[in-house]
Amino acid sequence: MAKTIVIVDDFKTNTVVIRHALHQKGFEILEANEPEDALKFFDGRQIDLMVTDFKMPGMTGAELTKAVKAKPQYANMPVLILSSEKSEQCKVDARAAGAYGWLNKPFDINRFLKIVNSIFK
Amino acid sequence: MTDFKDRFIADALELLAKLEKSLLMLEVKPDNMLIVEEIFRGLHSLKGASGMYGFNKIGHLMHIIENVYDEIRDGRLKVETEIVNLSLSVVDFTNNVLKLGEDVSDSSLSEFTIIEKQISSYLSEVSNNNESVSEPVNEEVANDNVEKTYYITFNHDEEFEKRGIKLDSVFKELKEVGTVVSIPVKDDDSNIEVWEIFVVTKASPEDIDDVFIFMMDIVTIELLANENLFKNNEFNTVIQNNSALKQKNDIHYLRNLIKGEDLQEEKMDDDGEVLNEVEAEEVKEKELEAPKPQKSMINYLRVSADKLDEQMDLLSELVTAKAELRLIVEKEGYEKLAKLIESIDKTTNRFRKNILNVRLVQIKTLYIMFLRLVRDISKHLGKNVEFIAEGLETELDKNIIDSLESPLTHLIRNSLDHGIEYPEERIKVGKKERATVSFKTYRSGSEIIIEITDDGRGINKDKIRRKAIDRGLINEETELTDKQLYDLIFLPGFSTAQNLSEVSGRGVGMDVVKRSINQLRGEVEIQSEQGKGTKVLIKLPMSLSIIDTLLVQSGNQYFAIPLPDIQKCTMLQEIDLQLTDNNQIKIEEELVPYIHLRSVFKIKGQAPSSQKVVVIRSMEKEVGLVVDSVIGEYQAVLKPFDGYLINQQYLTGASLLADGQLCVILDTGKLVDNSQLLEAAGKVVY
Repeated sequence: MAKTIVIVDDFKTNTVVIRHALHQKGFEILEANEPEDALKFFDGRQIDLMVTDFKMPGMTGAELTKAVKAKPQYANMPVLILSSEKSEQCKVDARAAGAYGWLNKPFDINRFLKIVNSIFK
Repeated sequence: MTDFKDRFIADALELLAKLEKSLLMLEVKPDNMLIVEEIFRGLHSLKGASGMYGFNKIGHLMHIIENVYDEIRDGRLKVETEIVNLSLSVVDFTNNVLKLGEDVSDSSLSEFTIIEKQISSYLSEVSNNNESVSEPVNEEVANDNVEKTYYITFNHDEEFEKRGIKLDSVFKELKEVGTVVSIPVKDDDSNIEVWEIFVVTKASPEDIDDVFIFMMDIVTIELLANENLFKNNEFNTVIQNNSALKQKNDIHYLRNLIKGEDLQEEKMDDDGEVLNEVEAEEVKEKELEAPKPQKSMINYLRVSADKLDEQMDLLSELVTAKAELRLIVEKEGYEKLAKLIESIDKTTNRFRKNILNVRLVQIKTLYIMFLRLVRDISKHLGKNVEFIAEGLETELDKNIIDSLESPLTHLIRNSLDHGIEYPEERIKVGKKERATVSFKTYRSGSEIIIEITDDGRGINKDKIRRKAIDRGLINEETELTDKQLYDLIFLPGFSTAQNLSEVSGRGVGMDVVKRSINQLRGEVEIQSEQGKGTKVLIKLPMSLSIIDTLLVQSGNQYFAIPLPDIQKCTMLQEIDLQLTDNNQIKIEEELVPYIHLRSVFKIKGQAPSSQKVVVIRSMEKEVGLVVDSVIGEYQAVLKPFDGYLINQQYLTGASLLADGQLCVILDTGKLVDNSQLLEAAGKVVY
């Protein structure tokens, strides 16, 4: 069965590009431009990875991760943060929330795809 | 990737417009940290995205100006006019550059350098102790093609398991990066398995990081040497010995093996950047001191469209309840309440206008996309096209704008690809070499009209006719008006182009265009003159959920007719019908075809002796609807049909009346348009 990936970024182009790239690789994509909307995806369905921006309106990527991982079903789901945030504190927050992956923006889309693929190997 | 680039540019331009607004506001309220935060966020988004789509210089510009706002956020800098000026010049410059569709190029490089210098000199002026704000544009990683040896170590403990990391796949990944020697050893104190890995690779530190992306905080990655240490015999002996003893390697010892080498001793964090802990500590303290934004200063709110939808639903219910109240008051005659109802009426009306307004977005957002589209496609096709836009400030519901993107794109592509001739051809037929495609939007009553016009070759009617006959859609003898003929183009799979081109397949998708417009309760129509050009006319309602209607009744059934489509209402005497010829009725000296709602909807029973005629006008045609009685104006809360009712021919939806009865909303466009219906009413229509 196709793996399902949730993408969250308030910059629409980013979600569009990432969705497109992942879609071509056969992943099922759920896409949100607001963290609040992303939360709605985690309603019990199978989700295999969340890829999220860090700095977003209303909620940071860390806060979002925390909220998602509070649901036992998603506690072990890997979370990859894509951000140009350079403060170390953000990374610490992200890890504390259970988002262990951090990829700096800008990134190469192929590099990103490689990482995503390796998660599901 | 160009599609994405276009999208990026459109999105970025939108962000820049917002930034500009925020900056102007900041100038007025320099202490408002919320505005600072918003500007920072905007710059940050732009920075990240610019880099991703290859706009590196713009990304750099965003980065240095972002730093300025970072300083302001942290209270190290105060907002001054100079900062706003600098920021605005960055916004303007970026705007200009992005509109050209490329990153900073030779022509704009000098301006870029000037702005960059202005910002850096401003920063160095105000903060002497903070030099490292500006970074060079091109951080070239040296030694890109040199083999390097990395030392990686991590504990294979519970944390590892918890994150769901599989050791096998880590090794597998790593082997794709370079030559790997991995050694499991036991930790001295605990019994935890510790892995030591040596990797020799030409790959960048990032590539190694990527393998460990989910364990960055629990893994240590160090660059041992800028050379292949596996070629060093001494090194090999040491690690083999240690490996045999299951003993941890002494990194300092290993480092010292390589004499005379300029080694990097710092521990890399996940960016390959060196983090100065003292500095980080300072930043943290400053953050705590930063002033808390005050609530009263909010000027802008980002509200999710869902919330607005919900408000709309609630308002709809309010409107229904209000109507119900009015009904009771009128029936029971509570005089005193009448005034109150009046005022509730007014307030709900204003409320409704208000909510609709909030949801309105200027069509300009689409224009920016189309501008690029026209430029790119005409260039690609080798056509010389000017794109003219009019009425960009016209506002439409956000949902409608979003749904318009793809049908309008399709129409513009069609115009460029099939409508517009090549320059040589245009000159030959005596046209201006430069063709025009215009995108015109205006409001007409509660409708928005969009016209896409080109001065190209127009549609070949004979060709369409022949095709329709070939396909058995019409007979040789069928007489069709131009409109009926052009409407054939909207039939699924009806294609007139001989060769489907790369840019657009003519016909393919026109049915989809029509369907998407219809779904918005809109209409689409083609007008064309061969040799002169084609115009596609789209009519859309401004908003989707509440419409002003005239409530009429036939038999026991209520019908709501959208108010803007109504031309006039008049009494109809039996005698009028008898006198009329060919089911046309004379209203104010004009002959208008008419249809009985009773017969269209097969309502049983006897019509009253005095009936009314409501003349509706849509798509430039008039039809009189004969109804039993006219009840009055009514705000219908539209509930679209779904399920098996979705293809209901002459209705757009239903609405609940105040007393709980159902009324259906007539689709005037379809009623006017349907020749069958009019013929059934005994009419020659066209």
